Amino acid sequence: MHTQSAHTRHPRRFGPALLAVAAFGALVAAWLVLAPAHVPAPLMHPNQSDGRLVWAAPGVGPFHALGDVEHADLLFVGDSRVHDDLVLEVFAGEALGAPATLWGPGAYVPHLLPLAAQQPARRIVVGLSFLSLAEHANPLVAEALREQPPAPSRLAAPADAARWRERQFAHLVATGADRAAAAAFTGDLAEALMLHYTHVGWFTGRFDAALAARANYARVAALPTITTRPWRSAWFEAPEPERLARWAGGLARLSKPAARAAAAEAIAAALRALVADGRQVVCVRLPMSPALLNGVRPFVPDAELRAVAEAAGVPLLEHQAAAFETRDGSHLTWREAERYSRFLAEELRRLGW
Amino acid sequence: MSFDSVSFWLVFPCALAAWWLLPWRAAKAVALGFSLLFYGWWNPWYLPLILASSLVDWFAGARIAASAEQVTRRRWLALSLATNLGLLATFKYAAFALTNIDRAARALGGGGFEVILPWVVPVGISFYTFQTLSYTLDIYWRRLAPARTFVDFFLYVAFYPQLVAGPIVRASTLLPQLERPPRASAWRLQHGAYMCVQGLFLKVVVADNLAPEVDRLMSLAAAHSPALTPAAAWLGMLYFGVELFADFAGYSAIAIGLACLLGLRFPTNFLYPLLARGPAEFWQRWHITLSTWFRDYVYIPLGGSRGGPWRTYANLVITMLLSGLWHGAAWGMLVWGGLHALALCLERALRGRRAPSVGVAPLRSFGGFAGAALGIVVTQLFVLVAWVFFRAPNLADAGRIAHAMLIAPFGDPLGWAALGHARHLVLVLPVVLMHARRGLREWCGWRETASERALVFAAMAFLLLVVRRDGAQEFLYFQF
Repeated sequence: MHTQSAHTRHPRRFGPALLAVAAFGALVAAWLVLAPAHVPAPLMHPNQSDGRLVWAAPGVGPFHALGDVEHADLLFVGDSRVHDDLVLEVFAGEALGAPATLWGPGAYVPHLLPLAAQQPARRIVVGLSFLSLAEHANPLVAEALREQPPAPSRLAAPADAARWRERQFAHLVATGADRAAAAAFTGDLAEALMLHYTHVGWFTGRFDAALAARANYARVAALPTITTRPWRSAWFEAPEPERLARWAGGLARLSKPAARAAAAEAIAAALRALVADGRQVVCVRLPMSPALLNGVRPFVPDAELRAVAEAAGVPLLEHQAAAFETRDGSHLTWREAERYSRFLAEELRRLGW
Repeated sequence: MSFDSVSFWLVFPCALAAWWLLPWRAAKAVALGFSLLFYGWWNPWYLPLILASSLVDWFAGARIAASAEQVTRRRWLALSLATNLGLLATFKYAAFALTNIDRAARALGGGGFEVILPWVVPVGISFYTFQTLSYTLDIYWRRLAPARTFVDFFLYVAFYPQLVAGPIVRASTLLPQLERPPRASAWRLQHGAYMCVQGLFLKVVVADNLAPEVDRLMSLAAAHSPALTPAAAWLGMLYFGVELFADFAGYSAIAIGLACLLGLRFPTNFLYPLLARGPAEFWQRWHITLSTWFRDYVYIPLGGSRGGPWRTYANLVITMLLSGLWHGAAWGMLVWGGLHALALCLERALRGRRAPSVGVAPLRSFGGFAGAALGIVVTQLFVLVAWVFFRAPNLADAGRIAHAMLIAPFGDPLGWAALGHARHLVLVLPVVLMHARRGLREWCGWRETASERALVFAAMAFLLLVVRRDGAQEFLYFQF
């Protein structure tokens, strides 16, 4: 803070600089030796971007586009598990084409598939789960937020995003949503909206974000790192593989067979349309914890999801019981997501992709 | 482009090399070009504003200096004031004014109107308008000669280390340094690097990791949550106080460090404000370039303390309310400025001119250690409560947080469960240690050696490498 030279002993040569470099090197070396045994790998992807906002149609959304969806060759579609479990950096290195993800929290897949059809990607991987058949998995998504954000202006994008957020928050509260949940949800969306504006606006923000993401990914991949998390009470992140099991079981219990059948038919029809358009399509059931799987199966049998793929005539990769570690029962840890992404890339290659 | 972005640190070495290797005039031209790139990187559509402001002040300054007639001098000064204050009024305060007119009209039963201005506050406008204002005012008061060339003047206004969020460098400080090439030295290089790393450490490791905890407190207030207990409110505001310090002092440290690497000297902007023993001393340690700007260009021209106690109090209140408004066009900022004005008046009434001062009285000379410690605690508690109005998005939320801090403890459960989030106190520790180190210097005359600074540098650089932030946050003072 204080820069008055009269109060500082001035080094006349570079001795202190050399000492600083040596001390820094020693600290990093000690960290590399000691930390791997004590510091767990990050639970989540180091960049954790949700991607920019997209609407499937007026009033249908918002969803998130991670990566360059408009120019992707390989497109992943689904809910938050598709976002968390499939690491685009891994697929980018697997020679399957430029990857991107279209997803939404608790997304209703029949809404997402028409959006995927509008993209140029020739290879599409659809993540299927019991949530794919449950329209009201995320009540905030289902209930409100039907208003698309304003077109970005060059001079006032932050103000546009703030006003849009205020209107959505007021609408959600008026429709009975919990104020805290609505505030958190619209806050996330406003951040995503700013990212959206960055993508469609001046290129520098995109450039900065891409550069920062690459640097951060490289750093976290190269050495153990630590972070704070506002929603966790522990310093170091530790997986809680059973955390979502009860929530998922309760949600599956509430789902209605008739609604699921309608959703299954809508998904199958959308998949058939993709195939008819000449796209290569594969459905995949992503890994989850045995507890969560056992909690859901009695209410949403595996056969229902198998029937969707069969009706559409597309392959279904059933990896739901594969041995990968989750952080909460439903989403893979980042390292496991990397491992699973390599595994899935291999599976896709076996299918001739 | 921001100091905490990878892009900046990829481009800056080129700018640094050009600064030191090119002939002096070319070096300044390249630095100006880089400054405009730096600013335009954020939003190029606001570049004409800074150019227009600079052109007006450049011509006004030259005309004021060239004219002996007071009327002419006043006219040019008026043009400069109208341009700069007009920019601020249009881009920073118009939306606030129109919104309040709308609300008043609705309250009086008239028809309201939706206020949507097609712009946001341009980054750095409060800083560069104050710099250009001080330029013309200093020339008008015959304290300063005008800049020799427009490139020098525009570089002074737009110089990238201080353009976006200060420190507010006076023309009398920077322009003379731009007249001749700076000299490189081992000390400048090492000190510059130290300040840059310290600033990045404060921003990336401390401020950005505390920000989600502060957001959490604000969401509790917005949601009328019962989890907004006294303990949660105090802890959250402590986090905010440290976050704001780390964010803004971090930015200032990087700015000062960059200037040092360029062989220039910027004024100190933060002098360990947690050591302040009273409100007056707080403003001698916090955002010093702004508080001295208001002192020299508002408080003293209003009469300062020359007109008796009541006139002094009135001048203090006006100055601090304007300071509050400078920070943001919002009622909360006015309340924040008003609270500090009240505290300054109260301190002046109780202590007269004997209030502790950074420059006049070191820590040990005022009331001994116990008195100093008590002064520090009381001052910091007051500052934390005042920050509530600075940070909360509206007065209603601020009221809820202030109630939880000040009134609820006498009736409601304290809510110790909130201390589940106290692990973030570890992020407060570096800031406390930094202040303790300074306290030792002021109290005992202890001074660190160059080797000790080198070890601190290594530790900060190491933590920058291994501590991730939970999502990058824009520097808080960008919005001002």
